[in-house]
Amino acid sequence: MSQTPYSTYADYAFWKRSISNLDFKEVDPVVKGDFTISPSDKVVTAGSCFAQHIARYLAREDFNFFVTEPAHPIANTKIAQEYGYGDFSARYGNIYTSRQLLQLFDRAYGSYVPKDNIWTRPDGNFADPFRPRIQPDGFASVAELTRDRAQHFAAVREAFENLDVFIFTLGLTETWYSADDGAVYPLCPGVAAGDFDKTLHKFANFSVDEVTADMNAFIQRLRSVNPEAKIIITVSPVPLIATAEDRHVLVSTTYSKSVLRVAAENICQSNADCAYYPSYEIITGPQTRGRYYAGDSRGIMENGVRHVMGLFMQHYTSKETAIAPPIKADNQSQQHEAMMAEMTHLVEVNCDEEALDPGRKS
Amino acid sequence: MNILFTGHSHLTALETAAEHQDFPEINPSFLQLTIPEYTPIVSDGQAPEVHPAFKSDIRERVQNRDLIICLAYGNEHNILALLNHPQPFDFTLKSEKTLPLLDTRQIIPAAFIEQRFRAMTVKARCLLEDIRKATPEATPVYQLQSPPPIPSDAHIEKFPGPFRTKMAELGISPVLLRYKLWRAYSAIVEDICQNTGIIYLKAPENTQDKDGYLRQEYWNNDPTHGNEAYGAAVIRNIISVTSKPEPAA
Repeated sequence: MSQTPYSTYADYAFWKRSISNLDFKEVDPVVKGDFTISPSDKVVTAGSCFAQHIARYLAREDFNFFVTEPAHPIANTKIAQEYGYGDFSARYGNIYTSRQLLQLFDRAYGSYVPKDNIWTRPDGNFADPFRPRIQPDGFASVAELTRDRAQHFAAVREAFENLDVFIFTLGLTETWYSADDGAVYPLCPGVAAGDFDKTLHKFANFSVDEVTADMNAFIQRLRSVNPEAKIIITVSPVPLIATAEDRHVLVSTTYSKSVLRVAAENICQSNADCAYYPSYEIITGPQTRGRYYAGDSRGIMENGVRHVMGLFMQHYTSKETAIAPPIKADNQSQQHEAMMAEMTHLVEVNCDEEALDPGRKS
Repeated sequence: MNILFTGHSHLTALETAAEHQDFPEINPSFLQLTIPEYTPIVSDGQAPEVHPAFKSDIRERVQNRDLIICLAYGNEHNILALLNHPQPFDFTLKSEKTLPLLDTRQIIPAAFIEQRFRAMTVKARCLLEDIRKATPEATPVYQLQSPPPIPSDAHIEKFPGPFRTKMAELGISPVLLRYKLWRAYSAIVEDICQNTGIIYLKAPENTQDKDGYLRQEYWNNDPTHGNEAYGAAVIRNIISVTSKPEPAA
């Protein structure tokens, strides 16, 4: 047998050696991380719902999951989650498309103010069109929404300007946007809040070029405020829940994921310190035979997330054992708990004094 | 009217008023609940249970009354309200959305406050449920709203009570926030009452100024309670409310 270029290639270049001969749980398409994340590096996550798994795992593994918009420590964990805190580094909710990410940056820095900026709910409360699920009972007033949005944008800026690593999960190509000024919505108006208006709300299905251009523009803006930022791009393996194209949702899913996968390749080839992480392949590859999908063939099983994140830890983290600095929320919680304990005691003393010595002079 | 007044520290203003002033319409009796034997027992992760001593005594004391007036707990809101939180916050009061939001404070969902107050009022709910259960069905049971906040920082600084040191460290909360938290807390207690078969009676309007704060003549010499005059105003309000003929069916 003569020598060919393939003769020198590593095992991972061959399907049989790297897939067929392995248990699906041992398949490692990452091969090698492009850089190393240390425990002290500030990691910011954003993207579609799959990105929530990444965030959750990073937090659990004592990474410095950089949270710039934690819930006020008055809230317990359950209600904080209901109000969209902790899913991501800031309270932006799911960011499904590259255009949504780009517009988030521009809105946070004040260079873009969408015209369709506040929705009134049937109950008289108000919703943020760009975070329609963030406040389950809506904002009680326009003033509250406006103040909350201002503090949210400050948190987004803090995240962008101070992060060491930004992990973004591309989720969808299909989107709804405002015909007024191109503002893209995370969800079709009317789904979680707002009213659908066919003259105002238009459908778009982004191409490879559009996704690539949006992401390149975002990376340029991010590095204008944080030149050292490293970026990891992933593609969500979660299929579309519905398509607005007149075709089968499976066909639309394949199109959408294909576009995102190619765009991810383009983005990483044209930007330094930008790596593609193959969570999509780990979950959807034929080696899994769908075993990482839940019964609805859409949700991702926990063992799939574990496989994705196990390889992530193996290839992208250092072996240092240094403890990550406590995240901001922990410090705030400690201060809060101390204050609550002390004030509870003082109020009890105050009440006891009043009961025992009413109307005292001091 | 044969009335049992029971509760915690806010009861003192009423008891003092009843001692010093004449209310010929009522025959009052007072039961302070501040002693440990009347404090609900809280086990980790469990709903609080009334103390056996309370259970026994309250059943005896509610007999042959025309009315039961409760001031169960009623100062929990001041844990959050009186002094500035290390991470200052503000929120929109659902029942009065037009009240302004304070500048430079973190705006938090009102639901966070509600969740916290629900957790803080488990003992009050436990006592109120048991009082209602112990009282003959035909006897009305009332829970009174806590006194409105004292709006004067100068007064609170002059009479800081046990808060002196902490007050120097954190500062007094803005009165608007104290007012909102008092209202939010009151709404939670009112909700408990509605679910317990207890009538919730708001603080007398004539004790409040145009902004809803406690008028100066009712300030006690401490940061959180009403004085004897306030107690008298509350008793007169109870007499007035409970003397009204019931509307025809």
